[in-house]
Amino acid sequence: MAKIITLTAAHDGFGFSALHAEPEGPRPQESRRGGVIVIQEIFGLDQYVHEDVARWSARGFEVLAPSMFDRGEKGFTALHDEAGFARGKELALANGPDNAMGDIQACIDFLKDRGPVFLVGYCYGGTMAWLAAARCEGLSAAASYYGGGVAGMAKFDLKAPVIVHLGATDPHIPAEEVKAAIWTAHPEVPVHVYAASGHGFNNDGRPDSDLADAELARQRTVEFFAEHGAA
Amino acid sequence: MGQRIALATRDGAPFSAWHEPAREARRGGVVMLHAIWGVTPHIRELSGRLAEQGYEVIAPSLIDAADADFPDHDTQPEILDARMEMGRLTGWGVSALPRVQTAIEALEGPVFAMGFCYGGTTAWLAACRCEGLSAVSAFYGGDIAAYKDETPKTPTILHFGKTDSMIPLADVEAIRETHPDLPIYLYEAGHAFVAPNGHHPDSAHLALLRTFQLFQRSGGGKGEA
Repeated sequence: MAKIITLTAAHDGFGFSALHAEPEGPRPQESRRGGVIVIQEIFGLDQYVHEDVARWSARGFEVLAPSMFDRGEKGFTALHDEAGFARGKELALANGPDNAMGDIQACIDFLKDRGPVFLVGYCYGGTMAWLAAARCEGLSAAASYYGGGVAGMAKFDLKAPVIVHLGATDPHIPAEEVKAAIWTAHPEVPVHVYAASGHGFNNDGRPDSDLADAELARQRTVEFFAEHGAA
Repeated sequence: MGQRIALATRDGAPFSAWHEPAREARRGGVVMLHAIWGVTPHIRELSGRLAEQGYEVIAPSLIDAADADFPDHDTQPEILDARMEMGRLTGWGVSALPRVQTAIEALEGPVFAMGFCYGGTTAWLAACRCEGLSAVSAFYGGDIAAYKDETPKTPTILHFGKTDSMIPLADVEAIRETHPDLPIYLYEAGHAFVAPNGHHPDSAHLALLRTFQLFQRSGGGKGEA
């Protein structure tokens, strides 16, 4: 079960909340595989983030999911509709990338003494995952799912290896164009396009989500993390 | 002479800025809002020109980290994609408004703001959302149209180039329809007509003249001291 804890960003001293879950399983302390930071979509710490935190915990990882827009609205969550998107976007823009990176760095620092630290982000979080791989210190690897800003930041130098997952039918993010942009700058980055899936396909039960694609992407992510230090 | 200074927002987030003390009888303070490229040599030089007219200028870094170097070049085409993505991620200045507010408060009144391209949109947002500004002049802000339903709290003028390939005239018309009384000036020039990369001397001269007139009419007359 995830608990809510408070962490402090070093750059401005702001205290933000985060879901925190220990690795689960018969002997969690002996089987801990590493830490995973889950970065939310634009909609906040909604049911899909809670499900993802539980999933990573069940796979043997200690998990943190920071509430990314706490400076604007503490504990923000929204429905996946037009109004929710508009409010989420407003909060994301007001928060800006510097605060986001500061919060992610605080999460890394919280986890780093207990083993390798990984990061996985979805949609808004997918863009932040790419940026964190470029800017933050101490990540062993990151997974970026359908981030709208990745193509624009494709040329950034990366401090940590990244795996990218895109949905072929995503109306917001042209998967083949994004893949081409990434491979022009970083031919070593694995980019997977999932034929049966659209935007947000890691959210089980959403219209654009194909369960087999979602599971394959999770499997690839876990294997990628294992290649980069996960026990 | 100007120098780099360290500031922090009300929330405690540090950022850097270029500061020019007034080198003439004081007219007021100006917050100078840079284009997508950051606090470039051109922005620092322009800040110095305002200082010679009697303005104290602060040009805050809007996008970059507090310890990032100011650029040596006015443009760097090879990082344009990345800079534009930073523009999108920051809402063309929305996330920088705490920095703008800090710069306003660091200056003695009357305080004016002017900005270009990215900073042109930020200038519009500052006119609508920040406290303590006496007038605002926004040059070719590409996303002002996206925020056109907001209303400036202070006298504001806008400048656009007629042949700006980044800002369609339809966007300018949309702003005009929403704000029929807002002075919007069009110039026979393209994008960035004040900056070295798009410089159009007559347009730049006229737009800056209109800016200084606005500031002087809005409390920036020369003091007796």
